[in-house]
Amino acid sequence: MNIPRSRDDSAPGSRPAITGALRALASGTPGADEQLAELVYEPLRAIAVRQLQFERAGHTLETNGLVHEAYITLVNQPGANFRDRSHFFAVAARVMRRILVDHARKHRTARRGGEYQVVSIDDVRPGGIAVRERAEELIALDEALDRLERLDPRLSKVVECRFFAGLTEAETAEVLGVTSRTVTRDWIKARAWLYQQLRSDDA
Amino acid sequence: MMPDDTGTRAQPTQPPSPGTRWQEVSGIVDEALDLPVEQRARFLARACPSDDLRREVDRFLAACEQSGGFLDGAATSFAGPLLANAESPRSQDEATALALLRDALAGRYTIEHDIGRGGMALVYLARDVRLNREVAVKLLRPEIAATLGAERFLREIETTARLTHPNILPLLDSGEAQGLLYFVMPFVTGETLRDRLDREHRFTQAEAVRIAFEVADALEYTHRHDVLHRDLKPENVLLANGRAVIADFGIACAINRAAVRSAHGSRSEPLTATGYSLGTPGYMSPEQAAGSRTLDGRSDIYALGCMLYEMLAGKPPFSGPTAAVVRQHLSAPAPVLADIRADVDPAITRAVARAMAKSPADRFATMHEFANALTAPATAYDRQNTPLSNGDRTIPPATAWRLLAVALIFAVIFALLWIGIR
Repeated sequence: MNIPRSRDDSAPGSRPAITGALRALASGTPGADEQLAELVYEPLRAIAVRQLQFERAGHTLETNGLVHEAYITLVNQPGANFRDRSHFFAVAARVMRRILVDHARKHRTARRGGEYQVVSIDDVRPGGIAVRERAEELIALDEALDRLERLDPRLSKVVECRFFAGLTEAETAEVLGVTSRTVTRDWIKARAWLYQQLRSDDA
Repeated sequence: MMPDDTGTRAQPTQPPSPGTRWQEVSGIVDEALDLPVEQRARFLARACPSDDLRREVDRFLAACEQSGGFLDGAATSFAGPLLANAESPRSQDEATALALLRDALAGRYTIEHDIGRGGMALVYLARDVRLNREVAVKLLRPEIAATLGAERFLREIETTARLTHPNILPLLDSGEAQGLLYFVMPFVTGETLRDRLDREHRFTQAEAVRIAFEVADALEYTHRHDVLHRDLKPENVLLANGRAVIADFGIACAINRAAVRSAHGSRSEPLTATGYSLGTPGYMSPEQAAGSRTLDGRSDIYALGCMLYEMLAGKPPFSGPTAAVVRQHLSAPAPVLADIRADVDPAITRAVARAMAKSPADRFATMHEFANALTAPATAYDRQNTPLSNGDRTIPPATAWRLLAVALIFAVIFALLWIGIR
């Protein structure tokens, strides 16, 4: 994974830029996926955060909805086609992974290596401990996923699509250009592999 | 990388082409996954030319079974709190407050970044310029500071400033700057007892008793100085390097009291005189819940008893909606600890029950006595004729109803305040 982080001033969400990057991606321009990743980082993050706030108001966040919303907001227009959507989802899935892992790392840094200042005045944030553990788990997952990518790139892509972007099996199949059955098997294998990596040395 | 025998997170080594081996295993696993479970063994016997490979495939298939629920649900619902945590909307007020605080503290403390955001305070990691050490600066939320008033707040927290005990987090500094109220405490890494309870649910007896003892020791000290905590709860106990430290002594309480008062809009006899404190009623003594004006150390004993109960039982003695919890503190016996957890020393069970007696007269007379009962469970304590169960002396029905009525009134006040403060 080597997606550059976008900066605040990236004027994200600019449809023409994103559509342009998608076109470049479709025509096989080298580096186009990275460019697209940078363009959608900030808008995706913003959508996720907004949806989370929505969620805290009692609604459930669905990543699937998130990536779709991003697509509709950022890309959907008459010229966009089926392949664009697949490309977009593939990149969005990686970016979602990067966004969450970035947050996990930031969280860890802020907490100084996993510990955090106790703020007892009124109970800190609800679920503070869960947040810390999740940060650690997510970072471990990200690292394991890097290893899986070296071993079997498609499996790691399936994880990005299914887990990080919340895509269905059918959508994942569309994105990766394989059959649904393959995605089913890949998903089982990827989970098992990661499970072995992450759980076996927990005990 | 193949998952290996040791199950370690091995770095990629250079065995004979792990990728090839993986492809071999992966291909066999694919086919096996397509077969009904009962047909797999026969297939595998044919498909795996070597025992080695067969073992790997078996192990991997087992992992496929075990990992069924793994990564279920989308990443955002898993990691959402992370995002939410980092992204809490920052109000303009807060940004302004921080800027003012930076100015006010310039030369003494350099604020580095925020490290926590609670409902009542924002917490920043800062560097004490003179002593060159890290501190936590807690800034009361501007709206809280406004209702509280500087003079009152600073007076209240003087209580904390005077306390010096290894199990009490000291107050280093406090002040007011353009209406902002802040106080400074050592930067402590660790977690609250609440965090740890959330994670582990219950502790070994030795650990629970040690924590309770350390808290008791601190409270014994403050009681000798005529200072009650009044708002003891797991959220206020930090576990730092294994040591229990009471944090925000007197501060949460001061805020709560002032908040209760301002919510009443009354400058005359405030609720503070009752010693009543806003917040979770989970650890509140019956007399406190009933609004007694004459609280003493035995009220803290009760709260500590509840905390020890929770550390051992894995759940607080009473739960439910606020009003229900308050009612139970007043009149319901807690579920007998020994029934929930049989492996606790009976002497400890009895000490907890006695600390949690409904009537202060039935509790330990002093924190010192409670602490002793915790350190010498098998000896001194056995000789005392304490009832075995948590059953306490029953409060006469009429009194109970009266107390209940008072409690309900308080519950309503809580609710209103809670809404108001948020």
